[in-house]
Amino acid sequence: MTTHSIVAQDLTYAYGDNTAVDHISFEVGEGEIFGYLGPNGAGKSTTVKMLTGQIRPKQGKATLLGMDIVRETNKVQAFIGVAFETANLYGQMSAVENLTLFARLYGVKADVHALLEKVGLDGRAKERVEGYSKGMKQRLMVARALVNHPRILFLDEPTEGLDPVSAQAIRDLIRETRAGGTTVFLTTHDMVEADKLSDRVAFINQGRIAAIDTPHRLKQQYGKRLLKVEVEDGGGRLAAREITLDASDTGETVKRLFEREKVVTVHSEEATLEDIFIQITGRRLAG
Amino acid sequence: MNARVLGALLRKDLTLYFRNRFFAYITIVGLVVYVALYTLLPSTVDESLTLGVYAPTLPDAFISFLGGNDITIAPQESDEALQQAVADSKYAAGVVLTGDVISGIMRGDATSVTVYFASDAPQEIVDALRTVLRLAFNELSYTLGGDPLRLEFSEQIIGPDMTGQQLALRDRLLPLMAIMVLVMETMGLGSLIADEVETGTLRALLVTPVTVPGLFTGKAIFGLLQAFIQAALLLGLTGGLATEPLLVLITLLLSALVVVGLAFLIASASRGMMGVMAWSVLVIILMMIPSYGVVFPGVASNWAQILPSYYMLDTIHQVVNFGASWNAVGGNLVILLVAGVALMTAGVVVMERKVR
Ligand SMILES: Nc1ncnc2c1ncn2[C@@H]1O[C@H](COP(=O)(O)OP(=O)(O)OP(=O)(O)O)[C@@H](O)[C@H]1O
Ligand SMILES: [Mg+2]
Repeated sequence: MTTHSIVAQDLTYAYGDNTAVDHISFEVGEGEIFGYLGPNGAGKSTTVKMLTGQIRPKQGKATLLGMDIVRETNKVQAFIGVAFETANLYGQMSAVENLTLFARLYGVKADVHALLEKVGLDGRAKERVEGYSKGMKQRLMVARALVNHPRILFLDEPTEGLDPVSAQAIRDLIRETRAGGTTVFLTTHDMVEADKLSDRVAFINQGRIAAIDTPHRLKQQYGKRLLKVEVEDGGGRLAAREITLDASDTGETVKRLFEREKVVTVHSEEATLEDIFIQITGRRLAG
Repeated sequence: MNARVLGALLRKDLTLYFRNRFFAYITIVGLVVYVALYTLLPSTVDESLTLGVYAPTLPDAFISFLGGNDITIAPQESDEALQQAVADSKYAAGVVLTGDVISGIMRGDATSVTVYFASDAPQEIVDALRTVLRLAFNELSYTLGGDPLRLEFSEQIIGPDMTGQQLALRDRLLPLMAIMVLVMETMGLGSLIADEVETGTLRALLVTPVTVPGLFTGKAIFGLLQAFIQAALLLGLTGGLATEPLLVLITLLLSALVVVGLAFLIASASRGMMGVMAWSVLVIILMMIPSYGVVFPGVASNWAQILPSYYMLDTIHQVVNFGASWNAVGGNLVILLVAGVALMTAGVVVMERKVR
């Protein structure tokens, strides 16, 4: 991936004295799913707002598809789709009317019904959105972000508050969208989701990027790999043993264990992204 | 910003406006009630004919002779009392029959009789009273014995110039209803804008190629058209567009501009629907003040002229009810234009600061 859909350089934003995003730089390749992870208040949404032209960076710049977001805001906005953190739909209009309105604003023809089917709302497409549940609204937000076949899709915690089936449907939709060539900027604090979906992830903490790489390499670099072993003691009870892999005496330790104890089960365990995040930032994710 | 985007925004605003029960009702019911009220109110002026008479030398019983089926006679103590009563609109007219007048009539000389008319007496009543007086004096002269009278009425108009009073109530109410329809839009458009800010749909619009100026243009056009069409409909249905349609329509359009500017200001001062309600009720009450002057002449004082609605009202009143010309109301139109542009500019500037 040589071309970059998003290039952020020294992006900075402050609400009064509170620096929400502090000189952030990164690149997102075309067709990449980029996970943007961080705890509450880390500056994720603020970054999205700058990248989508909702607020102007106080410092630094961002280029989307080769265009400066501040100087060519409207031109860029024709090519992006944004699903906001909190639902902002027209409650007195139906799902179909909401999507049709945005298709008109973009000047595109959209297969509104196919889109609604993809997010599982085809059965209630004509109902007023004010009567939708939180999860249904969330799904409609994602559908709306796709109405203009965006080249870059921004999703700010799209699966937050969804039941597992709906969340899975959204994840499938994200993959499908990426398969069509769309770059996805995915904000989340669901580490498992980020791990499953993202080609690369960035850890953001207190407005700064703490680490940025593929989930696999982050785990290799930071995670301890463990061998979890269950052994049976003399009285028939189970006890747990942990052996660190990648240590100089790992082979010796494993050998000794198998010689001296009665091993029942053996699992290898990799660190999760969450473990690594805590390791790098010293913070937990959930607020 | 192109026509397609503008069309989509206007269509959306229309949908949202009429899906809001409150505004849908207020718009439609308001219009129906105003037109119905206008139609049901009598088109003529209904005032009892009471004639004040000061006749120091004649017995009261004799004076009563002047009266008839439709006219009541009220004897007065003095000329001054009579004039005061007429000035206070107690009676539509007053007649002075001094001893000299009586003897002149009796002698058959050419005699001048002083008649006071209230300045707010409707023309029909003035005409009717003239006829009645003539008939009564003829009767009197035959009774007194002879020749036809050579009477001359010396007429005096008493009281402030209150031209508007000659109108039927419904015609006096009409400009007020038009202003009401117009200023209600401050609430309608104000909450439409505030709602988009509150629910965040405005942010959703602004990450599409829709721009802030484009968005404001859409809202302004929507508000202008809505206020204008409603007011034009009201005047059209009540015959208000019969005399100078273009002049009236331009007045309505300029008035709508003022109202849209106010709606922007209200929306930027408010958080959500309740804020808009509070502010717009205040604005509506203020804007209605000049109307009281048309319904009850002489009530509104000069300070009402600092309100832009004074110029809307005055223009509509002058043109619709008195057929005033472009020249006569040109000054008002200029003031409305200036006020409209100023309010609109202020509204857009503060709203833009709020949105960004
Ligand atoms: N409109 C605002 N006004 C003032 N401060 C704000 C505003 N929005 C965000 N902030 C502050 O900026 C910082 C970053 O907020 P931001 O919304 O970007 O965090 P986030 O990473 O999206 O968090 P979350 O996971 O809770 O969505 C926080 O300290 C927050 O309080
Ligand atoms: Mg956020």
